[in-house]
Amino acid sequence: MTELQRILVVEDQEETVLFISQILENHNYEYSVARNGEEALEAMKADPPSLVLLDVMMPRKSGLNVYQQMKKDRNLEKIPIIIVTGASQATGVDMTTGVEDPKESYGDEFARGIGAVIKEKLDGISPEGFIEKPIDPSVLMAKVKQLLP
Amino acid sequence: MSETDSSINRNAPADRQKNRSVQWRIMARQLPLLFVLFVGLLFWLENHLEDAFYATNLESVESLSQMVVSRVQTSMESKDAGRPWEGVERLLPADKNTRLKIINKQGVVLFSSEPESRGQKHNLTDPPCVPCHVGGSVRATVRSKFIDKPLDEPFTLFVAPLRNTEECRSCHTDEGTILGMVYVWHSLGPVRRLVRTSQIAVIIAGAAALIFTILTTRLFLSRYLNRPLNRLVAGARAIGSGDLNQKIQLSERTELSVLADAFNKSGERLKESIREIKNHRDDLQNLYYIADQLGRSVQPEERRRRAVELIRSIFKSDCLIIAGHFHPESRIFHGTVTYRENDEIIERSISSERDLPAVPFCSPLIVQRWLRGELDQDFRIREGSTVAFPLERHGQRLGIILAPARRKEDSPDGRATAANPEVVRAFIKHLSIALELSELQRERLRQERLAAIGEALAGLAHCLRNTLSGLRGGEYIVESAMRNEDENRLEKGWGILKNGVRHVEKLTLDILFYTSDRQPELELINPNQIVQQVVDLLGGSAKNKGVTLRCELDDSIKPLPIDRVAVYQAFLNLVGNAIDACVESELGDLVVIASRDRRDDLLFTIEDNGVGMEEQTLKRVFDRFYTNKPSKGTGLGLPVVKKIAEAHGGKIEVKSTLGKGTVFYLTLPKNPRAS
Repeated sequence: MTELQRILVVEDQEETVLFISQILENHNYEYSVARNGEEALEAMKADPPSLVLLDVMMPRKSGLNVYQQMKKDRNLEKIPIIIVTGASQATGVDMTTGVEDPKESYGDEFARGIGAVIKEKLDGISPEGFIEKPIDPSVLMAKVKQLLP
Repeated sequence: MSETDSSINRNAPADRQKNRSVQWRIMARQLPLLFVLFVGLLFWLENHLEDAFYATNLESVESLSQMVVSRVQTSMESKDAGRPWEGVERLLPADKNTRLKIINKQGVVLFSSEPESRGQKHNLTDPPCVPCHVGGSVRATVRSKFIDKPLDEPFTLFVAPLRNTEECRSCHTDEGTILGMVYVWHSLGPVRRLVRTSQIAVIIAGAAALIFTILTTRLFLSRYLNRPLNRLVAGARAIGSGDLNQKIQLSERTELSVLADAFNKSGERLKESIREIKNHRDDLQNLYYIADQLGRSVQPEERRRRAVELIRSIFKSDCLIIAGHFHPESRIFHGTVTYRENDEIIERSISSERDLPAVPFCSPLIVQRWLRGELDQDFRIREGSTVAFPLERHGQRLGIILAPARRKEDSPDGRATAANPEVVRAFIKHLSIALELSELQRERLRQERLAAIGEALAGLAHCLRNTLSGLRGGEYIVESAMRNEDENRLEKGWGILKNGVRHVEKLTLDILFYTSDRQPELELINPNQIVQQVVDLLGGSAKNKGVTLRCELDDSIKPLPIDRVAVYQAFLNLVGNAIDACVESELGDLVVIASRDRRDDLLFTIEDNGVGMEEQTLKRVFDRFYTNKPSKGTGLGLPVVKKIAEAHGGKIEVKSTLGKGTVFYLTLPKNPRAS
């Protein structure tokens, strides 16, 4: 049923790559890995995946950049995306609702700034398009299944 | 006083000159007046004296002529007709000044006091007759008397007619006619001489009076005006030049002495004013001193100590300061009592009046009332031998000062301002503000500490969450691998788990290092040696990652006192970071650690050609728990380096270009104490 569907994992941290790929393997998903934003865009253009798991904090080209370029590209615009981020904890902004929770926030100006940028740049993304670190395998799979019917 | 006298004398000639001019001015105006008066008097005398003399003479001459006429008439009536003028000469005065002539109708002189002219015809052209008998006829009315002054010898002449009366008709028939003339000539020469003599006497007396007047005026002016004026001027000058002890003494009670009194009084008042100004100046200086002293230290204990010292030095009084704060809900007081005992300032903590020291003026009653908030908020409260000054701001009780009560007269310098209420008030206010500031500062520190703890905990949680994320991934992989019996995956998962454990270990060590308040344990050691140890330790693993460590150490560097463990940790963090930066970038392969001996300090540079940092990251590299390596970094490495550098009196700086590399500059002073 899902054998033909391929997921592109865009992530620079080796440990996270291993973690996500283990989850995907356990659920029999095809996947490929891109280590940074540029590599990811190239891979997508060469062979558009069915879903992209996109890390935000990456060297060279950030996940946000990749997201914006995909939305501009006709061929890539329709591909569902799950943003993988640790920002919610850092900013106190719940990425799924966009609401800032003062209890969660630790008043870090820089992190707040990032949070604001993420919120602005990802404006219009559906709540299922986010997953926070640390990744809960069952949550990840639920979201993947939702986006890949 | 001798100084004042000399100053008066020095000024005296000028004064005298000035005052003489006042005197002379008065006299210059007075003299012409006196002179005109004198001359006028002379003129008056000239006219009226002479006239008066003449008038007296005229009367006597007139009466003489009347006597002659009546004698002649009487003689004629007594039929002594032959020579009726016989015996007339007896009526004449003995002097030769009076001449008498009796002339008949025909102008023949019947009788004359000058015998040679008897029987001769009277000459009408004689000077006395000329005015009336011009050209031989009488033109003017017959005058019985006249005075002719223009002549050399003035005289008075009486011409009295001898009339033919009823009784004469027996002999003289021609009725009502003039039978003859009696002619009395009187020289006024002696009278004039007398008048002249009188005039000269009057002139001399007048001149003498004038001179006398001038001299006495001069004398009195000098006595009553000049001398007092000079004293006034000298006194005024002395007061003007600042000698306020100068008193102007005038012997006479005049308007000038009133002026002198006014001067003396204003001098006194000036002295009083100056004393007051001096007191105010002292007060101001004290206030500046108080403000400066209380503001100098930010430590509350130091402020309280200074306050005790200030009260001693400015108000010359012992005191006891209770300061502290009331817990907002329980109203429990916690504070300190500061006082001086045996030349030593003692500070003890206090929470009730039972903790008070046994100082004579320390009244537990007042303190008890104050603690209960029962003291009406008066600036000064006196209770027996104690005087208390509550310290408060915005209705908040901050403390209270207790001091021995004393009267104004008891102040050591006799100055009322030794305890000038205004200065005391200002002092109380200053101290209240200082204590309030201390209180606010204490509160702020507490808040800051809480905030810092919160921030640190949040940062720590963030860091732990990253580690946890790794551990969770590792755990999942290991579980999956065990289930699938995938040995390769198992190894990888195990590696992730081990990394996570290492990370927690490193974090723990960094936290310990960062939070420990230990003072650097200094020992004389060459920092190059430490750098070399770090390079030796990390060199191998770096090489495995494709990174070369190169040392360019300055051999001239001598050992210096540093904390070996701390500096080792600092270099370990810096070189470790540099290696990581190289590993992250594709091109990074070299870390250069260099040292250089500068004049006052040593400079260490740790340069890599790794990923470099963005400007935003660069700004935050020394912030706690900030890391751009979530899985590896603890966010404490560079803060630890900074702390170590600063503990040695040195500093750490960084320059970085994204994609090209980063340089850290660590400076350690050669003499940490001097810096």
